[in-house]
Amino acid sequence: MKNFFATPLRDEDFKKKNFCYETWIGNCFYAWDCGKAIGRYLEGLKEGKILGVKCPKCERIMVPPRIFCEWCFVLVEDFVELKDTGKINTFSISYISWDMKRLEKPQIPAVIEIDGASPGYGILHLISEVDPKDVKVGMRVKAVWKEEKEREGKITDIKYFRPY
Amino acid sequence: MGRRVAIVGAGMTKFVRRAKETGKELAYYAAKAALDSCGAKLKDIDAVVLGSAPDTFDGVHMKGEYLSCGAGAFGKPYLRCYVGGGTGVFSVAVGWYYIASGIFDTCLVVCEEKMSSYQPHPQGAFLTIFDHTTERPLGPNLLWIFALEMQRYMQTYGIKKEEIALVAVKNKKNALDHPAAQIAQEITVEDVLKSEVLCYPVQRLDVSPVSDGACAIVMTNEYLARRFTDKPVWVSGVGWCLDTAYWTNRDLCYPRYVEEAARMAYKMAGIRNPRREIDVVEPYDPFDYKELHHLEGLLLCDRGEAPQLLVDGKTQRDGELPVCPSGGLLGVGNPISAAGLMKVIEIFWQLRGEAGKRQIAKKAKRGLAQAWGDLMQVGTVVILEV
Amino acid sequence: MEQKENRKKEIIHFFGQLPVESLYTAGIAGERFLLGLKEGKFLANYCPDCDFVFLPPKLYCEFCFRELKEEDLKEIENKGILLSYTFTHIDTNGNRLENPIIVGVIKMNGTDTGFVHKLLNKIEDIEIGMEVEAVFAPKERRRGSINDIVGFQRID
Ligand SMILES: [Zn+2]
Ligand SMILES: [Zn+2]
Repeated sequence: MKNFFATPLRDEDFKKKNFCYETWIGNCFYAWDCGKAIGRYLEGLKEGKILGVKCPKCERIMVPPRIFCEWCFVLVEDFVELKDTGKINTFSISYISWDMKRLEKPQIPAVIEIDGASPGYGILHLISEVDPKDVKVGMRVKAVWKEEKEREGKITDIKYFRPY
Repeated sequence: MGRRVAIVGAGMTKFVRRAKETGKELAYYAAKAALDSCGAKLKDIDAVVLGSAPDTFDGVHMKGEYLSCGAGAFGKPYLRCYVGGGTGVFSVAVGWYYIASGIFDTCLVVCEEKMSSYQPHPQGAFLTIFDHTTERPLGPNLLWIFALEMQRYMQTYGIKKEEIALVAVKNKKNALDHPAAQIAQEITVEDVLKSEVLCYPVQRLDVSPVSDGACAIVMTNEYLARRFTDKPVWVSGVGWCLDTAYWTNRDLCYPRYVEEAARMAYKMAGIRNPRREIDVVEPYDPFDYKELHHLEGLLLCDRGEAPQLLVDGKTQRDGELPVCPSGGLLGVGNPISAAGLMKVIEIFWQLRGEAGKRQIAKKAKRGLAQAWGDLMQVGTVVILEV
Repeated sequence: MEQKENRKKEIIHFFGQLPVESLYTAGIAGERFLLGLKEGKFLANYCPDCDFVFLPPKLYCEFCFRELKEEDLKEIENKGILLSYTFTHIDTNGNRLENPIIVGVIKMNGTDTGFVHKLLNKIEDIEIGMEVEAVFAPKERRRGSINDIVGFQRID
């Protein structure tokens, strides 16, 4: 057998589809159970609060909440209300969508360390109301919530975080 | 530590953006080439290990079973292993314990990926790595996590993009000498910095491509190795480790899990000072900054110091510590699990002096291949020596 | 994405979707086979080491790993035996079908492998062991696909 062999389809071959093929669109709908900890987290978001959990053993305050501490491997049941402020741990400016299409307006995803949680405990969210050029690691930010009646118990009940 | 384990043969397909071959056919090309390279027949093989990334890429559920006949597994003990991008190197660790334990005398390790089946763009198949409830509603794309990690790495140690871009320049150039390479080219730092910004700080030329391809190796024990080859390459250490899936809770500036995996492998190989004892290294480079990040995790330099090795030219093929002489994922291509195994195969060829134009200047006795994956959380390491 | 709440206003489910769309190349051996169907022919291949005939043809013999080349293809006659069959009354989502779909496993004469396809006869006319033949779609509708065969029917 020849080493380093394969038959590449060039872009134009692919566009013209001058080869035998079949296509298929999967029907993948799911109902994911939120579970105890994330269910409670979402209820908190609906009330305009960010909830964390505290490990009874190592006393870490973790967010997003979970019902166990993966270090101590003990059950964690103590929910604590955190602030809705924090600082940017890291960020990006994204110009593309999930399927590699160009976005008109860039998004700014960031890991935000939440005030009241142990140092380094962040969540993934978006930054807005700021020129992308001015975003910095370490910048203080605050959650911008949806109106109470519009909140549904989703991570998007926080519209984004903005510098403050 | 059980029986000594050798790699005695290796083969691989060309890496391409879209292959006309099915996944099974790609697996066959690689597996057959590996067997032929050491004069082995399928009947000489006791067991088969398959490495392959999520089923979503090929669009085939139970991909292990689907690929089994092309991987040479008909009527044999067979197992598919999967630890995300870390799979290619991990599959060699699985092959190692098959042989070291004495359960099997010979084993064929095959890694295959056909990412092009996923439409409209394979990137979409990665979406599910984000938490479905707390992250995916934010509309992420795969590059977010890499961009966030790269930014954190740059900020923590004050590393410039110009320095990181040198990795892409080096690897794409090294790949010009690799017969399987998909996107080998001569580029400049300027080209990288001017390429399309995808997800700042990640730009087009910082990223490896999506690919179709397969790789395979033949492994055996110390008693049989010389029946297959005069130049067996010994697996002296393997290591793997996983960090938490709560990726926003750990400091992305340093891959702790790679360090843990490396320490496990160094200990097994009796290596006390990896900086002196490792001659050539193939760290995982799906993005240019990852090569640097991983060199630090592998303890081959201090934290934040990898860019200096690169700037000083020490990681070139004629340098003190050649890094990715193959051309890496950035140059040869990135059919996920196959890319990891390609790195092990490159070390195999380098140690046997069979890397052709890619052969490094110094005489290499010991080399290391590493891969990384899942939600930026798994490190897998294999150490080879002659 | 939507979610459901129970009476206590606890949030229990989160609904979502995974986008999955695939395009499969038929591959090297698959294309040899499908282009044969487009011509109204069945092409199989033979491994001399294992004395085994594959239909559809493969790129390699999975038993001995010999490469099977284009020149190893041979045309076989359009005639086979029904090995097994089933009537399916529900679709993939579990909905009741008005007319059941009948599928069978057919062993074409001169081959050593089974082959799945639809059966075109009425339920009462079907029995294991009966001789069948493929009914091809009109030539202009064939595109190099397994559906270039409409189905198999009984030969009396
Ligand atoms: Zn704890
Ligand atoms: Zn055969």
